[in-house]
Amino acid sequence: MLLAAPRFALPETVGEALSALAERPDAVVVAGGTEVMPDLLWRVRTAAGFVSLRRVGALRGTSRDGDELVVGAGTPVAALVDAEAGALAAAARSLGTPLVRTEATIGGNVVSALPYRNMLPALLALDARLELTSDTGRRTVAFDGFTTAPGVTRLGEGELLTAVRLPTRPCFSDYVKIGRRNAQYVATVSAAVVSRNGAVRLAFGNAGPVPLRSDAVDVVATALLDGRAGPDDLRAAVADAVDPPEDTVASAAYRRHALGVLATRLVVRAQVDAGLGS
Amino acid sequence: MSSEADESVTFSLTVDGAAHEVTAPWSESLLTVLRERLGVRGPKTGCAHGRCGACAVRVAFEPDRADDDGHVLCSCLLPAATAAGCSVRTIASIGGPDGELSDVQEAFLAEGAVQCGICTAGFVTAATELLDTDPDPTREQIEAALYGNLCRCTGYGRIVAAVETAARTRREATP
Amino acid sequence: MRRPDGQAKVRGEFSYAGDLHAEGMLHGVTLRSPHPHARLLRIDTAAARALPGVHAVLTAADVPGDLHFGLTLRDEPVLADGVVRYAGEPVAVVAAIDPRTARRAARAIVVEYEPLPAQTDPTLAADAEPLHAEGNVYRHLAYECGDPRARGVVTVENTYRIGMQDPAFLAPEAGMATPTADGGVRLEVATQWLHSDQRQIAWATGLPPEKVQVVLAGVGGAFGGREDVTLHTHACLLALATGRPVKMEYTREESFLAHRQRHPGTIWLRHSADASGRVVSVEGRVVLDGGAYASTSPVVIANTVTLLQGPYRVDNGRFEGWSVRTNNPSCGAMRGFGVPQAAFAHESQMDALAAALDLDPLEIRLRNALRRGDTATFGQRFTQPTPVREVIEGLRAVPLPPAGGKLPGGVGRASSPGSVRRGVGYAVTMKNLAFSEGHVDESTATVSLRDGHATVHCACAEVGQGFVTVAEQVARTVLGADTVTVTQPDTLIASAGSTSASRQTMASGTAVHRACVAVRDRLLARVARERGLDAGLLSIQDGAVTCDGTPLVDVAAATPGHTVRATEHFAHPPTTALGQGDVYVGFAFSAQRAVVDVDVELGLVSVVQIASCQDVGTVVNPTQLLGQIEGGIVQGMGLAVMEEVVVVDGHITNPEFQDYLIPTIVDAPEVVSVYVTDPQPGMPHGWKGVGEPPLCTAVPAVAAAVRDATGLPLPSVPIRPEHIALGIGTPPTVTRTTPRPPATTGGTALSEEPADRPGTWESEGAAGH
Repeated sequence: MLLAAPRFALPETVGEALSALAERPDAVVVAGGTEVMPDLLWRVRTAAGFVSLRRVGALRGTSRDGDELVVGAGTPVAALVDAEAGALAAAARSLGTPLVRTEATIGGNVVSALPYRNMLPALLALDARLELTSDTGRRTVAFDGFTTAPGVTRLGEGELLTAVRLPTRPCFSDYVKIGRRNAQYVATVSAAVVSRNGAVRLAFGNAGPVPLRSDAVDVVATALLDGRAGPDDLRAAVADAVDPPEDTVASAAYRRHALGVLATRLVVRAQVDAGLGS
Repeated sequence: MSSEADESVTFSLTVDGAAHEVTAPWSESLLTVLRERLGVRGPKTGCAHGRCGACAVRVAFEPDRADDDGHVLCSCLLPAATAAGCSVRTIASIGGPDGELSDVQEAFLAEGAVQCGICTAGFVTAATELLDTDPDPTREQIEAALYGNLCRCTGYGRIVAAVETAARTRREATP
Repeated sequence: MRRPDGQAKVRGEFSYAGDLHAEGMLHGVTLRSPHPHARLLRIDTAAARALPGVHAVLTAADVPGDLHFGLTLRDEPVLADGVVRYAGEPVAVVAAIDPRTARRAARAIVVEYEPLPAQTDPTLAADAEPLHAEGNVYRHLAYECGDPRARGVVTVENTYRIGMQDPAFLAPEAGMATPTADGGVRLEVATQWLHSDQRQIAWATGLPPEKVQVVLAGVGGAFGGREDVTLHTHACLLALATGRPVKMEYTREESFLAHRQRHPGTIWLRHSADASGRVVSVEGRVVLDGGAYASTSPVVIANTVTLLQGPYRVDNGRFEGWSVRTNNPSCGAMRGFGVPQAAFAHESQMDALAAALDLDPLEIRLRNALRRGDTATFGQRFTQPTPVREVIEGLRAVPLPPAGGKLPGGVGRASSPGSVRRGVGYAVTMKNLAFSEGHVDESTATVSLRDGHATVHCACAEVGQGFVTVAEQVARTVLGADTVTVTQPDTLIASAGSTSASRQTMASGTAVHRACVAVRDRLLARVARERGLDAGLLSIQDGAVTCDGTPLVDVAAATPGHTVRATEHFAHPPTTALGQGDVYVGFAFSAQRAVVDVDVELGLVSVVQIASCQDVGTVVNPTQLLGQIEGGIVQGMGLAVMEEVVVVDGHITNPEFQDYLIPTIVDAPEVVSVYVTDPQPGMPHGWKGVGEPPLCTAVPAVAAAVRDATGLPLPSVPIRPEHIALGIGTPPTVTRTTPRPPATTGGTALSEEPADRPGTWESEGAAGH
C-alpha cells in the first residue's frame, strides 16, 4: 500500500485493493480519474472515499492466455491504439483526447457503463469476456449482458473488474463513431463490426440504454456481406433493433438513421477486407 | 459528517524538481494542488473537466525508472494523491532558468501562436512531448497530438505553423 | 514585432486574473437561482454565517448603494431582489477562508422560492405579462426607405434562425478586490472595459467613482463576454464587508451561467430583384432574445436590423426588429454584436436570389455591391472607402484548394472519400466599426520618454488581441524608443472605452499615436532649443534625432535624465441617433469563400478551407492581423456548424465543454487571407478595425458551402448533422412577381420612435458598438 487514509487508499496489488475496498465499502473505485473527477465537479456523483487502482501494476498491460488477449483493467486506453483488433484500436484512438487517453482505462470505460462510451461496442462486437475478482475468487463473465442499465453493471459488491479478455482468432474488425465535431467528442452513436469466417457481428453504442447487439441484425448483416441482402435490408433491421435516446444532441430519428448507415458502411468495409466488395 | 482528518491525505510530490509534502483532501485534483497549495500557476484552469488541456503537465509515475520520462496529461483529472511520490513537470520545466526559451516556446512566439495565452502553456507542453517523440510530424500528426488542447483566439493556424517551425528548428539543430 | 507579453506567456509566467493572490485573502462564492423565474419568499443565511471560516454572507439587503446596474437600462439587480428572472441569477455571495468553506456556506443558505411560469419564447414576450417593471421590450425599431412595395421579377423570402453562441473564452471570470485605506476598494479583474466596471461598482457600493479603482488583471480571452459586470461588484462588496482582499473565480459552468451570450434570433427576410439580379427591395423583421436583463440588447438589435441590407445597395426597404426580455439567459455583446445574425440571413437570401435567377453567387453580389457615395437604408452616406467590389474580386483571385483533405467526422472515421460531396460557398458582409448611435467613441493615452525608454499608459484592456504590440510598435516607430513599457491599464487615466467593436486600434491606437507625436515634438523642440537649431528641420529616424536627414544624437542620449510626457485624447467624429444622419463611425467589408466536404448521409461536415479577402485599411502588424482573421473565422465556423448553448425551459443544458463544442485543431480549416488596403480617413496611416468581420462572414460562408454540397435549404445555424441527414429546414419561398417600380424614392423614415427611454442611457458611450 503506497498510501492509506481513512477514506483513501493507494494499493499496489489486487489483494491490497480488495482489502482496501472491503475496509471502505462506500469508497468509489477510481482508476484513471477521467470520469470520476468531472462527475464530482458536476455533482452527478458524490464519493465517500477513493480506492485508486492507478498504482496496481498487475492491472496494467496486455498478455496472451491461450487464444485470448488479456487486457488488464487498469491498462490506459492509449496503450490499445495499435491493438491488433481493428475495432479495439479504432475505439481507443478516438476516445477523448490524447491527454485523456493516457489516463482513461479500459476497465473504467467498461464499469462506467454509459451507452456512449467508446470501447463498449468494440468489446461487444469482439465478444469480450470480463474477469471479475473478489475476496472469494475470480469469475469470468461475458461482456454481453454485463451492463444492465446506463451506469449499472453486474459487478458485485466488493468485486473488481481486473481484466478484459478478447478472442484472438483472426477476424476483420472495425469501429466508427460520429458526433458534432471532428475530434474530442462523445459519440452521438457508434458501431463496431467483427467479421469472421463469413459471419458478421455488429454492435452499437448509444443505440439504447446499454451497448446493443442483435441476432436479427447480424443475420441480415451476414447476408449483406455475401450479397444475399441489400443495404436497405440492413438499415431496416437496425432500425427495428435499436432504441436510441432522444436528447438535445440529436433526435432518436437521426440516431436510428445514422446507426443504419454506420452498420452498412462497416459491413461494406468487411466485404472489401474479405475481397468480396469493390 | 466526517472529521477534517478523514478528508485529507498527506503525500510527497516532486514538482519541477522540488520536493514537496502535500496535505490535501483525497479527491483534490493535481491542478488544484499545484495552483492553490503549491503556488505553481503555470498550469491553467480552463474547464477543470479534461476538455481544454490548459492544465497539461508531464507526470512520471515511476520517476526512479530511467526510462520513465513521464507523459502529458490533464492535471485537472488526476486525483493528486494517486500521484503520491511522482514527479511532475510543468511549463516551468520547459525552457531555461533565465528566461531562455525552448525551441517550441520560441516558435510559438515567433509565429504569433500566442494571443491571450491562457492555452499556451498547455499547448507548449503537449507540443514538446510530440516533438520529443516524433521530430518530424506531418500536419495530420500535429493535429492528432494537439486536439486535446483548445484555443479560442488563434483559430489554430499559427499554432500548427509554430509546431512545424519548432520541428524544423529541432531537426536542423541535430544533424 | 513580437508581442511584448509573449515571452511571459510562452513560459507560463504571465499573471492572469485567476492567478491573483494576496496574503490573507478570502474566497468569494456565488449562490445562484436554480429557477428561471421564481419569487423569493425567504432567504435565511444564519446557518451559513455560523460556519467557521465564513466572513460574510451578502444578499440584496446588504447592498449599500443602488441595487441595480446594467450597460444600457439599469434593470439588473446586483443580487436578486424579490424575484429571480433566469436560472443562474446571483442570489447571495459568500466570503470564506477557502473555496471549499465558501461553497459549503453557500449550500447552507436556505432560500425558499415560489416558482413562477417561465416565459421562454421570445416571439411571445412583447405581449406577455411583464417580467420586470421596465417591460419586456428592450427596444423596438422600425424604419423604411424608398418604396418597400417595389418589386422586381422575382421575390424570395424565408425565415432564418441563429442559435445562442457562448464567447467561451478559455479563462473563466476572475478578480480580486482589496479594501483601500481611504475606505474605497481596488479591483483587479479580467475585463474589457475598466471604466464601465468602475461606474457600475460605484453605484452598488455607494462609493464615489474615484474611490473605486479598477486595474486590469491578465485576461484570458474576452470576445464580448467580459463587457458586462459579473463578479466585479460582488467581489468589491465582499471586500468592503470583510475588510480583507476577496478573490472570486468562476468555474466553467458558472461562466456559462453568468456572462452574456450572443443573442439567438429569428429573422424573416424578403428580397425582390430584377432580372439582372439587382435588388429592388428588401423587407426584414428580427426578433432577438435578450434574456432576463437588458445588457446591450437595445444596441445589438439596431446593428442587426440596420445591417440586414448587407454590403449591397438597397434603395427600397422596410426593416423592423425587437429585442425582448425572457426568462432565458441574458444576452449581450459577442464579437460581431448582432451582425453575424444579419449576415447569415442576408447572405442566405442573396444565394436564394442567385439560384432563382440562375446567376453566379459572386456575380449577383458584384451587381449589388455598395459603392462610395451610396446611401444606406438607414440614411447614412458611405463617404469613406467602400471596397465591396474590391474584396469580392480579391477573393475571386484566390485559387481553389485541391480535392482531398480532412474527412468529415474526423477521428470517428465514419466517412470515406466515396461518401463525401464537396461544396463551395461565398459570403460578403459589412460590419460597422466602433461605438454608434451617438455614443462617444474615445480614448486617452499618456506617453512618457526618458533616456530612450518609453512608457505608455492607457485604459485600453488587452484581452489577447495585441493592443500591447500596437502600442509598443507605435512608440518605437514614432519616438525611436529602445525599450517600451505598456503599463497595466487602470482607472487612474481617462476611459479608453471597451475593447470591442473592432475599435481599439483606431481609438486607443490613435490616442497613443497622438501622445507619441506630442512627446516627439516636445523632445525635438528641446533638442532644437539646446542646440540652437530649427525644430522644423529635426525628426526621429531609426532611434536617432536627425537634422535635415543627418543623425545628431541617439534618442536615448538626446535629453539625459529628462522626462518628456504628453497626454492626448482621441474621439471619432460624433454619430447620431438612427434616422438623423451618420449612425456609425465607419464600416469594414469582408468576403469569404468556404470549401467544405460533407458526408451527406450522416450530416457530417469538414471545413477544408476558408479564403478571406478583407478591407483592413492598412496593415499594422501582419502576424496579429492574420491572428484576428484566422481566429474570427474559426469562431464563425463554430457558430455555423457546432456551437450552440442549448436552453430548455430556461435552463442551459450544456454549460461545459463536453457538450458545448468549440472547434478543435482538427476542425479548423486552412485559412488563406488576402487584403484590400484602402486607408481609413482620419486614422493615423489609415488604420481600421479588423476583429469582427472575419467571424461575421464565416457564418454565412460555411452555411452556403454546406448548402452547395447538399442542395438543402439549411435556414438555421448551427447546422446540425440531422438537418443534413434528414433534410430538415424549410426552403425559401420563390415567387415570380410582376415588376413594380418604386412610387417614392430616397429618404429614411423612422416608422416609430425607438423604445429606449430617454435618460436611461449612460453618459459615457454606453455600449454603443
